[in-house]
Amino acid sequence: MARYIGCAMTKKEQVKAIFIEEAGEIIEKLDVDILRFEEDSSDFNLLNEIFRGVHTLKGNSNAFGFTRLGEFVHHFEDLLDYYRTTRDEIEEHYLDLFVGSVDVVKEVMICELDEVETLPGGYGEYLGKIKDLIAIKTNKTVVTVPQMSGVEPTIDAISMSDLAAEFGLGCQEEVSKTVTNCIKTKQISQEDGLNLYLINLTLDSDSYKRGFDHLIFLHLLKEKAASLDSFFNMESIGTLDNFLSEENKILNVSIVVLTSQSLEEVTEYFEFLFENEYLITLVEPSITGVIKERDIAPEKPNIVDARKGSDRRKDDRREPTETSSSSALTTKSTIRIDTIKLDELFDSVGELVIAQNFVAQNEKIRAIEDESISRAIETLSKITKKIQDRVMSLRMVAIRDTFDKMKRVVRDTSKKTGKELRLIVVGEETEIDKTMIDSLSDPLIHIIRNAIDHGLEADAAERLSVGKKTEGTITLRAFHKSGSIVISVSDDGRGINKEKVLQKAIERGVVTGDENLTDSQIFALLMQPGFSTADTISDLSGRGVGLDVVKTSIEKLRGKIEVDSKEGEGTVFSMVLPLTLAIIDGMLVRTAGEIYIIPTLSVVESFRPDKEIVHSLKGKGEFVSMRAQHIPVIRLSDVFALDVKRIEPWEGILVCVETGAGRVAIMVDELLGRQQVVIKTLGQSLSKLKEITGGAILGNGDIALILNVDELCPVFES
Amino acid sequence: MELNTMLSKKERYLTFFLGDEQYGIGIDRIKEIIAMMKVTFVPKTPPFMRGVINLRGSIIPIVDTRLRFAMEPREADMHTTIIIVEVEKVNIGFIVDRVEEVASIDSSHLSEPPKFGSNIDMDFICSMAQIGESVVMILNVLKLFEADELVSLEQIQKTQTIEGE
Repeated sequence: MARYIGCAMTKKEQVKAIFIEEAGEIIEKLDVDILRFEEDSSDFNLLNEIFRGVHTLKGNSNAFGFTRLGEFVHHFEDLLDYYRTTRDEIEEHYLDLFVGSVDVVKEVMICELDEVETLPGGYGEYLGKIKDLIAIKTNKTVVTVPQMSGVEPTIDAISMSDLAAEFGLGCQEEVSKTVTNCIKTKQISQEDGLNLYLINLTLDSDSYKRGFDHLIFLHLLKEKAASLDSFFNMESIGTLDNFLSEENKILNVSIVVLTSQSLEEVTEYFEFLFENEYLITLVEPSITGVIKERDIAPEKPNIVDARKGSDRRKDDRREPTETSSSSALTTKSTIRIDTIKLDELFDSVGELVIAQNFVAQNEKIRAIEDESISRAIETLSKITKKIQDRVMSLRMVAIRDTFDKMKRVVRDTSKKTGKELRLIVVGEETEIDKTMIDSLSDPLIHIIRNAIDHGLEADAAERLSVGKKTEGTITLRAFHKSGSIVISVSDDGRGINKEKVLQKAIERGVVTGDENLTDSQIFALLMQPGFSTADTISDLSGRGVGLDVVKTSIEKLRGKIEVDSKEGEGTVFSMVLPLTLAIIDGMLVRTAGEIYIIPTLSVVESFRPDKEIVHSLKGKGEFVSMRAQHIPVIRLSDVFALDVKRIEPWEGILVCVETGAGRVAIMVDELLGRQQVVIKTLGQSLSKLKEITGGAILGNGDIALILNVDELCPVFES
Repeated sequence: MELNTMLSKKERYLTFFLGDEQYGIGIDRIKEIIAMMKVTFVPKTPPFMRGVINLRGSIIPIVDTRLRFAMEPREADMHTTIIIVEVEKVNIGFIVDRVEEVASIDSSHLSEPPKFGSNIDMDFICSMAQIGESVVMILNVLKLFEADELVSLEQIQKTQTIEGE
C-alpha cells in the first residue's frame, strides 16, 4: 500500500516538476515580451502572445493549487483580454502596471514554489491596480452586456434562456457571428441592382411609448426587399413576472436586407428615430472576399452607441487576428530535447568518428587496392564529419535570449539610477554553447549594472559638460574572434581612472606601487577580491563583491575577462569564451610515460631552460629566473607522487602557465603537439581530484588527463 | 502461498573468480563484460583504483578487485576481464581474474555469510550460495560503491529506499 502512495506521489511530483519548468519558461518569455511591448505597445501580435502566456499560466497554476498565483494572473488575464479584444490603445502610464505585474507574477511564483506564506509586497498593490483599471475600462465602454443578473434562476428564467438558445441568440457573440454568416450567404446570391444593408436597431426602452417598435420597420423594409433576415438579441428580457408590456427590453435587432432601394430610401424609414438608435451599413458586393463596411448614417460617428462600436470592431478584426496567430505558430517549429539525450548522441558520434578512423587507417583495408572500397571509405568519412559537425551545432544556441534578458536589466537599472540611456545590441544571432548560456547571465548582469552605475556619468549635466549627449549608451556585443566568442559590454561614460585604481590597490596592499604596471594590468586589479573604487556604495553595485566573482565564473567557463578603458570616453568589458564547453584547445605533453593535456589558453610559453637560469633553494624547491621574474618549477611527478627517475629541468621542457596564483613552470619530458580535444568527465568517483579537470580521448583511443593548472602548486617538501 | 513463491524465486548471478574463490554479482547490475584493455593511470587515487578506460567514447574508472580485497596483485592474462557494473547511472569497471558463468540461483539456496573466515571484508558479501560442489559469495555492489565513495551517499540511500519499497 505504502508503495502505491509513494508511486503516486512521485508521479504527481513529476507532473509538478514539468509544470514548474514550463511556468518558468512562460514567465521568462513574458518578461522579454512585456519589455518589447513596452517599446511598441501597438504590436497587437505581441499582446496576443503575452495573453496566451498568462492564460496558460493561469490554467496550470490553478491545477496545481497555486491559488495565489492563479488569482493574480486571472485578473491580469482579464486586463490583457480587455485590451486584446477592444484593441484600445494602452495609455503610457499604464504600461508600468503591465511590466510591474509580470514582476509580481515572477515573485509570487517563487513564493508558491518555496511555500512561503507571505506574499510579495507588490501583490496586493498591483492586484488592486489591475482591478481598478479593469473597472474603469469596462464602465467607460460598457463591454459587458447586462446579463440577467439579479434575477433568481427560476424555472421561467431557465426556460426563457432555453428559448433564446433555440433562436440561436444565446449571446451577443453568437448573434454577430450569425449575422456575419448571413451576410456572406447573401453576398453569394447578390444580383446586380440589389443592395445589401446591415441595419442595427437599438431602440431605447421608451420607444414603444413613442410609437415605434421593431416590427414596423421590418414590415416597411419587407415591401421592397428581395430577402430579409432579422436577429433579435433578447438577452435582457426578464422573466414573465417582471415583464412590462410598455417597456422595450429587446437590446438590439440586426437586420440583413437585400433590396433594390437606395441608401437614402432605406434611411428614410428610420428618420423618426433618435440617431443613436440605428446604424445602417451598406455591405458592398464581395469581390475580394473581404467584407468592407461603410458607415453612412448617422453622420456624427461619435454618438454611435459605444457597444455597437465595439461589436463591430470585434467583427472585422476577428479574421486577421486568427491568421496572424497561426502564422506565428508555423514560423517557430522546434522540438525540446533532453540535454542528456543530446549528450548521449554526442558520445555516440564520438564513437562513430573513432570507429571510422579505425576503418580508414586500417592497414589491411588499405592494402586492398580497390577503387570502389577506397571511394566508399572516403564517402564514409565525409558523412561522418558532416554528422559530427551537425551534432556539435545542436548544442549551439543564439545568444539572443540572454541578450533579451539583459534588456530588462538595463531598463531596471536605468530606472533605479535615474540615468537616461540607450541600449545597442549587436550580434544577437551569435551562437554559443547551450551549457554556457546559463552561467553567463549572472556575470553579464553584473557587468551591465556596473557599466550603468559606475561607468556612466552621474547625471546629464556632467555628460553635457564634457560635450556628450545626455543619453548614455550601453552596447552589448557578441562576436567571433579567432576561435573564441567575445561578449562585450561597453559604455560611453567617464572611463576608468587609472590613478585612482592604482592608489586604491596600494592602499589595500595589493600592489606596492613600485611595479611598472601596464594599463591592462591596472585594469585587472579591479577584479581582485574586495576591490571597489565606487565612492558610494549603492544598492546596485559597489559593495566590492563583484568583479572578482565575475572573473571566477568566467574562468570556470574556461574564459577570461579583459578590460579596456579610455578616460573620458568609456570602458569595454570583454568576456572571451571558448566556442563550446565541450572542446578545448590543448597542449599535449608527456611526463612519466603518460600523456597530459594543458589548456592552451593558460600557456604563456614553453622552453628548455639553460642550466644557468635554474636555481634551487633548499626547502623552497626549484625556480627559473628569466626577464627578472622568478618562476617556480612544478614537477608533475612530485605533485602526483609518481615514482620516476628524476631528470634535471634543463633536460626536460618547462611549460610556463598563467594561474590564479601567478605564473608557474610545469616541467614535462616532452611536448607532443597541440590539438582540439573533447572534454569528458572522469566520473563522479574521480571528480574530487582537484588537479585534473577531466579526460580526453585521443585519436588512437588512448585517454589523456587534462590538468587544472590553477590547482598545481609547487611541492616544497621534497 | 506468497511465502512459497518468495522461497522458490530464482535470481541470476554472474560468477567470476579471484584466485580460487568464486564470487557473484546480480546480473541486473551488470552492463557489460569486456576483455582487459589499456588502463590510463590516474594519479592521487588509492592503489586499487587502477585508472580509467575508454569504453567506446566514455571514460570509465576501473577498480582492481584483487587489490580492493587486499589480495596479491596478479599480472593480466588472457582470462583477465573487466566487468562494467552500473549503479545509479554511474559505471565502474571491476578487473577480475576470470569470468565463469551466469548462474541461476534459487533464493532458497542462499544463506547468511559466516561472520569470519575470509580474507576479505565481510561487509561486501550479502550472502553465500551453494552451486554443486562450490560456494559462491554474492557481492553487495552498493556497499562496495559506497565504501569507495564511487557514488555519493545520498544516491545510495535513494537506491536503497526504492529497492526497499
